[in-house]
Amino acid sequence: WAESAWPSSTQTKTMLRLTLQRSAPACRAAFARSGGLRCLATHYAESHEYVKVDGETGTVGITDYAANALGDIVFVDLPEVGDEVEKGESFGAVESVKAASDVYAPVSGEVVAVNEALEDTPDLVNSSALEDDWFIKIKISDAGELDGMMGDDAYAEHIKE
Amino acid sequence: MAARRALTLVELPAWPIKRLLRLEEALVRHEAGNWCLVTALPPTPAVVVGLGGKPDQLLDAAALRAAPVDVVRRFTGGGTVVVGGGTVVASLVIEKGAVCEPFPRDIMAWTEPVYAAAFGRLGVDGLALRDHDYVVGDRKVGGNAQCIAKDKWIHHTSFLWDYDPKHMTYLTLPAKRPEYRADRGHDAFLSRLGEATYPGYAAPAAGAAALASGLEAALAADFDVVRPGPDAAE
Repeated sequence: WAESAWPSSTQTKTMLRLTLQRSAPACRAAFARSGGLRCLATHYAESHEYVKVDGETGTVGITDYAANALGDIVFVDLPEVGDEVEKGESFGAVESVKAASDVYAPVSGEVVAVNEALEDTPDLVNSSALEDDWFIKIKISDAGELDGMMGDDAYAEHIKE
Repeated sequence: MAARRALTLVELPAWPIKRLLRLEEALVRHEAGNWCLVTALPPTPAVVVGLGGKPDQLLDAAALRAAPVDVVRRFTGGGTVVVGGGTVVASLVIEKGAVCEPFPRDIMAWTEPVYAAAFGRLGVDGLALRDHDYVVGDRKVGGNAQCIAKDKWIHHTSFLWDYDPKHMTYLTLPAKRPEYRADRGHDAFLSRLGEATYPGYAAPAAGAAALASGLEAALAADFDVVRPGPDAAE
């Protein structure tokens, strides 16, 4: 065993996410001006959904905190590509420990992709693999809806309460 | 001191399961307030599948062809049950933040002592949750399921006051089952609550009335309980 001199890929992703999150307001302003600037940031809802913003696309899922609190996920009910979702409204459900829990859209927009792997392997939601546990991708219709959502630090405080 | 929340407890007449499920979902998604519903179901059997249940794996197609019954998908999670004349359903529809965190294990940690206290008044000692089933000893007496929505959650339970063993042939032995069940078939795994209560409560209708009174007392620890007549649910 030798401790690596280089940060792991997970640590690198985390550092990048936190750095960009701090510059998220500037990113959104630039996005609004340019209409196409890519800006990576993660935003959190009080109901424990997250949206990772990459340009006009938001990748939506539930946080590790929620997945752990819900228990082993056995079924995920998702919308279809082309469906419209509205901020704060339910777009699907997850089932765990005999409970069906609604999941809510953190932003409004059109569903452009659905994670079909969750149909056969719903426990991917519990695996904490950041690339595998997403639910849907949305073409965001109003970036202003991201205002008022929590960043990493605020969400960390929220789950402590 | 914070004001206590109100809870409305309604003992319903023998509504069919589909009508009961529609009422429950309306109370979860569209009505304010905390509710407890108790009812003894009518005799017609029905199979009720959870939100994510796969009927082709959970149900015996040959048994259903031989003696068809309604198969209903409910809005809550959990497994497959056969309900009918021996089933007493109790439903708790509670506002988020009223009594516990809105997550499945927290909800069941709150409901377990409520039901244990309520059933204690009927002469049933030792009712508990085991692998998320309501049991007496190592036998299941009630199947429960939940839905956690925007502002409220529901925890509903179908208690086996009595059951017809031939109805259990509609159900296959589930591939995923609790550890305490092992490979027991339905008859060795399930138990009739009507045989465990005081004699006066052996019939499901009398049992439902007694359970409603037991829940009224148990829920009074956390709520101001009001009991209007069954019209309140109409």
